[in-house]
Amino acid sequence: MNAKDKFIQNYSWKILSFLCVVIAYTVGLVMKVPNDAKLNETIRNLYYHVPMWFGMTILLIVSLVYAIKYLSKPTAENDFYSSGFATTGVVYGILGIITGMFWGAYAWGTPWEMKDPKMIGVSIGMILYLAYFVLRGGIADTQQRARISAVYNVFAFPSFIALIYIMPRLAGFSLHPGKEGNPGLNPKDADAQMRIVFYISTVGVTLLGVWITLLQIRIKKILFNLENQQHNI
Amino acid sequence: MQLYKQIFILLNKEWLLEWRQRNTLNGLLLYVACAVFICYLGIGMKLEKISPGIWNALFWIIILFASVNAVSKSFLLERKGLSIYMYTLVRPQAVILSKIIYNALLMLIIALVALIFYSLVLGIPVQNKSAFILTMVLGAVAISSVFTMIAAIAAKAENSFTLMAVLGIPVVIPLFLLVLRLSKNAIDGLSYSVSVQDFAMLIALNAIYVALSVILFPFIGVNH
Amino acid sequence: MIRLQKKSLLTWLLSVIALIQTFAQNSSTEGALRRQGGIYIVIIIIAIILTGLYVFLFLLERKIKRIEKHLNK
Repeated sequence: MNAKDKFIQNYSWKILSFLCVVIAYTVGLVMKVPNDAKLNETIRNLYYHVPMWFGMTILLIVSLVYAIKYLSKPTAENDFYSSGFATTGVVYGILGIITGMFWGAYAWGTPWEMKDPKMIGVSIGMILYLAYFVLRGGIADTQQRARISAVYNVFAFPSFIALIYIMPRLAGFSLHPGKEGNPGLNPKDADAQMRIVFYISTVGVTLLGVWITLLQIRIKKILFNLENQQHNI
Repeated sequence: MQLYKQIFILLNKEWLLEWRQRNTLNGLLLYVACAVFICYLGIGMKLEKISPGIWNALFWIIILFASVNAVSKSFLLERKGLSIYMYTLVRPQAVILSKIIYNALLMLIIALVALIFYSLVLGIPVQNKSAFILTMVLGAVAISSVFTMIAAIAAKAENSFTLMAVLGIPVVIPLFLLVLRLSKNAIDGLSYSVSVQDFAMLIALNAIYVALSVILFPFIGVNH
Repeated sequence: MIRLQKKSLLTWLLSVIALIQTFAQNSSTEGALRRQGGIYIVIIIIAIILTGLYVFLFLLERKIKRIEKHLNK
């Protein structure tokens, strides 16, 4: 691979992320939105709040994939990837909850509507991943920590999906828009233009999360190598 | 040796161990009795009849916490040398399956005892009895399969007993919510056709968790 | 070392949540936020996302500082 290809591979997706975020965040603020008596201008949060959830789900799925990879091929690198993507996913989830509280304060009148199955599901889902980090903190041996936490990551994932995507649908009601708590968009609320901006925002925010995670993983790798060198000396 | 034979032998061993030192089993039953009595004191004395919703929630919460206590000992209290020796003889799949089956049976016994105590002090407002029993069986399998695997995971970390609840309860909540809803439907006397979707969902989740336990348990490893 | 990171993350979380709570409960600010169709809510949400990402990056930088300490030894 020559230098030019490498440059493109390294930077193209970061530039794409930058462009997507800048375009979606600015266009989202000025673009015309359909009239909605209840939401008014806050319907624009579709470009800021909802991509957090999509990004979180994607990052956590990547974390799961690397956990499975670790179980089939136990290398320190796979563990760094798995735990790193989980960290960023949890940060996105917490940002989603906090932004959702503000939106909820406007649209529903209360920042924390515990009757909403989506809120319940997501907060338990976050507890699930915080428990994952507690588990990691409780095991001293590096390899054992990586293996056991990978097992927990895989084992807890069906519950996470059930909490976020299946329970709200089965509950049959939700304050969130969309058909019966459907995580997808309500076609009445979001017209085609809004959806395009939303997808651009999702791509940008998710790629940004991937970039942050990769930086984190590189730092972990350097620390790991440094500590190994010290042991060898 | 075939898998089912190994499972049978291990089940036999679990039961023998339990039967020889009956104090753990007795303690568990007493725990359930105490919990039911406290519920009675807290609610039943004031209200002549508690609403089915509260009855349902209390019943399953008692069973959930009894199960955390019951299942946590399945990996945490094992003597290490003995278990390592035994696990060289049998397949890991047989170990986890036998533990799940044993814990499910234990859970059913606990649930039945809790139901008996409940009927004594608070009455049983269940209308669709067969649906309630089916829910109890599925719930016992669900809770035991999740907590058995979580106990195996938590046994590898420090302060395992606390970690057991922290790790297990968020995982079990979707199953628990389904069980709560199904048993509420059974109490209200709704027919099977209403809750068939939930039953299918619960069975599917059960199958996923048992399969995941069997696949993932060999990775945990028994040697410390 | 891992303990330290977790503690800092936790304090960050708690402080952000406390801040949000005070914001959300203050009725006079809420009244102001409701004006002009709630566009200020949107702006606050953008600010929260940016703040969250920046705080996360600061935490990353602290890890790099640890590496630098390692190298200086």
